[in-house]
Amino acid sequence: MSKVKRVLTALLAASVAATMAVGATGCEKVDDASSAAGTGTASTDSTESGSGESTGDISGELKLAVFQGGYGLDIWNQIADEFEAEHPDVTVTVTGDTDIGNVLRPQIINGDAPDFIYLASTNPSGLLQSLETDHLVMDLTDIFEEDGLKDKIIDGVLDGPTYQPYGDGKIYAAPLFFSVNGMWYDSNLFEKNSWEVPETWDDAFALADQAKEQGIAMYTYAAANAPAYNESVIWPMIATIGGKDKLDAIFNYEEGAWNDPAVTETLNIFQQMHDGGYLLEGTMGMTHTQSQQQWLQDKALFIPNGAWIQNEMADSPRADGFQFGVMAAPKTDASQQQAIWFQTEEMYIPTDAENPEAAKEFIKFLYTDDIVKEMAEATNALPPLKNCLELVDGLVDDATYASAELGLSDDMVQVSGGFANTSATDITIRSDFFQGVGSILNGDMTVADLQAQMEQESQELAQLVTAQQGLEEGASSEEAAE
Amino acid sequence: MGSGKIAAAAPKNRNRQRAGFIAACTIPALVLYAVFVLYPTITVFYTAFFSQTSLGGSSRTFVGFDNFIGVFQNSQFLESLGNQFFLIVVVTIITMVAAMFFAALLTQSNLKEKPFYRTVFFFPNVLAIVVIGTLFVQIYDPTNGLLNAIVSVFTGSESHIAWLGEDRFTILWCVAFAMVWQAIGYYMVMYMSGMDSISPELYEVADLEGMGKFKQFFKITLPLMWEVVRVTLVFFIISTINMSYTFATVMTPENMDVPLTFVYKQAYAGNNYGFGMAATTIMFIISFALALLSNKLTARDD
Repeated sequence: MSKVKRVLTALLAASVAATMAVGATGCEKVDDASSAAGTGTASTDSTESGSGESTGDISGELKLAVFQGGYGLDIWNQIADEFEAEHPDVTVTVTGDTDIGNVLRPQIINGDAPDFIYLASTNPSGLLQSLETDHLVMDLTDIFEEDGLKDKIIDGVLDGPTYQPYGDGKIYAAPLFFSVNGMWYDSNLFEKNSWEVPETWDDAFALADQAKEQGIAMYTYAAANAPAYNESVIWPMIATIGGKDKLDAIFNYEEGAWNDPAVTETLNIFQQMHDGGYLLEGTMGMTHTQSQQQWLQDKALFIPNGAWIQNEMADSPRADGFQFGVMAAPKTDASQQQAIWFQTEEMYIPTDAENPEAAKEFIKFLYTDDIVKEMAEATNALPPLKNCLELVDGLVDDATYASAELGLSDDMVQVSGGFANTSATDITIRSDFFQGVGSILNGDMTVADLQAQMEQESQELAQLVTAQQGLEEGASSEEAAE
Repeated sequence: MGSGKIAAAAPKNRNRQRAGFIAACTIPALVLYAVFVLYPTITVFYTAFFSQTSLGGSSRTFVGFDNFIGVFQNSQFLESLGNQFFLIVVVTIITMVAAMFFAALLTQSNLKEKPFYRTVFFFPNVLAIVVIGTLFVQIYDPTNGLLNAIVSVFTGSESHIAWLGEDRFTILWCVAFAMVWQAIGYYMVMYMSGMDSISPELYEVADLEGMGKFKQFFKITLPLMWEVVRVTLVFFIISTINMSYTFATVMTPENMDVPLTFVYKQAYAGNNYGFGMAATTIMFIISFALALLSNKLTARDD
């Protein structure tokens, strides 16, 4: 019996070792095959299209990995073709997936990273954050220094910790799109009732009281699955009331930042919504689509969102004559200068990229006027450029254009950014905060409770900040450069 | 190696042949198990001792038991663990009682529609859990949902209750109900097969002796299918933990967490992979211990 056992163990051990060996060689073989195939196609391609004017000395395969949004991959393939036409020695391959972050992770771990990634930092896969923490993204500062590209990008966009993760003034990600997020309303409903778009929250609540008589609530949002949509209201409000510095203080975990009167005043508006029953009934259980559907049927006056809402809800039933209108979060005092929230989507190059030169060239290519226009027409998304309005005129839908017009107007303060990076921590300050705002709207928490909780989390995080200079210094050096 | 001995001893030779056969049958499965289950599981345990991102790059540092300590100090994890225990207990009890009741009803009574009911009860098992989750999201919809429509009928005024956005226990009951609805048919079929294997003569004798149906169930049915019940108990614990991840992801992405959704948020969106793996390890130990415990508690002396 013991012999049987011994034979069995030996066989087992041998077979495990064998499978592992097979697995290892198998992997190598696959790698070899794919790179061979890559160079193969590259060489055939270069002989095929010799007509294009060669603008650099880049060549080889350029692997793009892109987040596949609602508009599909056609536009990426189209741009890839145009890039190939301009750089005949380059072959571009496009990989797209709605879950590209989780597709790429094992590839990057195995050292098989793509040359170019487009996936927003807000994606739940957290890919960009991981790449930045592990120093696996390439420094792109030279792209922005060249040809004054940095000055063409909308002010402030490149300042946030996502773009400058180490606070050393160097840029590690490039913005592909931006959206202006505000409070959306049905402008037809407003015209019909000859309501004015409210300038202050007092006006807004007075308007809401009138609307209530028609059975229309004041406010709804994606409480059940995306409560952070409220950032389009809360972050700019803090800047409107207390100035941009107050928001920077919060994002950099400065002591007492959450106890600032500007924060109190902002959150009190949400307390007032709860106390006066201004929230659409059932909102706490609504997803983004459910709340947007209610709003589209004139069940609520306002919803915090970005311009993608028109595209996203294109096939949904709506109130007669519905028209998308957008405004910045109201002021608490008419003398304040209004701020508005910008959200951006990033693209970047992993340090393991095999063809970083081509990838950098591709990023520059994406900022050229023609490509920006093509992209805008296909995706309805806005390029983060100062001359955005003239570029996209007539190419994007009305809601998107209206939001850009509002966001880029001179009397608006543009704010964007996010919490400063820290070393690994289980404190999820952003989601805790927006959960907390939900609790205020639900009556489970007071404004003071939330402020105390945030201040405590913030002070713990302050100990863990990795980029010592942080956001503020990056912002001031940016201003000095102009 | 020892070939002389084999030639000498015939029974040993047969033993060796048998060993070869057993090895040929089990090794492929064992290898697959080792590569796809054991190796990843051990990697998870190992990763739990590091502070690292999901990419395991240069920021990776050994932190000993810090992650484990952190998990037990994290109030969100403890709350999610509470939710998990609530779901395990509530879903197990309701599903078990209901599945057994329907199984007994269908096996004992000579209903002509028996196959029909069996199919109807089993039907939810054919649907993907994501589909069931989405279905119940629609049922609980605050404005157009079926449940609010029913409540409206009874209260006489329009109801807009946000079932999946109310207090913690309302949400938990709503999710538990969906899970019971999903699981009931599967366990009913298992119990039915356990009951079908009990000899009908026992019931005939019991009838003759004047034993009531209720008593028959506890004196005959339950003891004779006890082994099936034991197995399903372990199933309940493991599957509730696993399925509550999908249900929570679909039904309550932001309003209610179970440990596995907590793990996902920490490990990926939170960029805190080692910590997430520590929480996973803790969940592994807890579910293992629960399964063992339930097996011990239900063991009979005979």
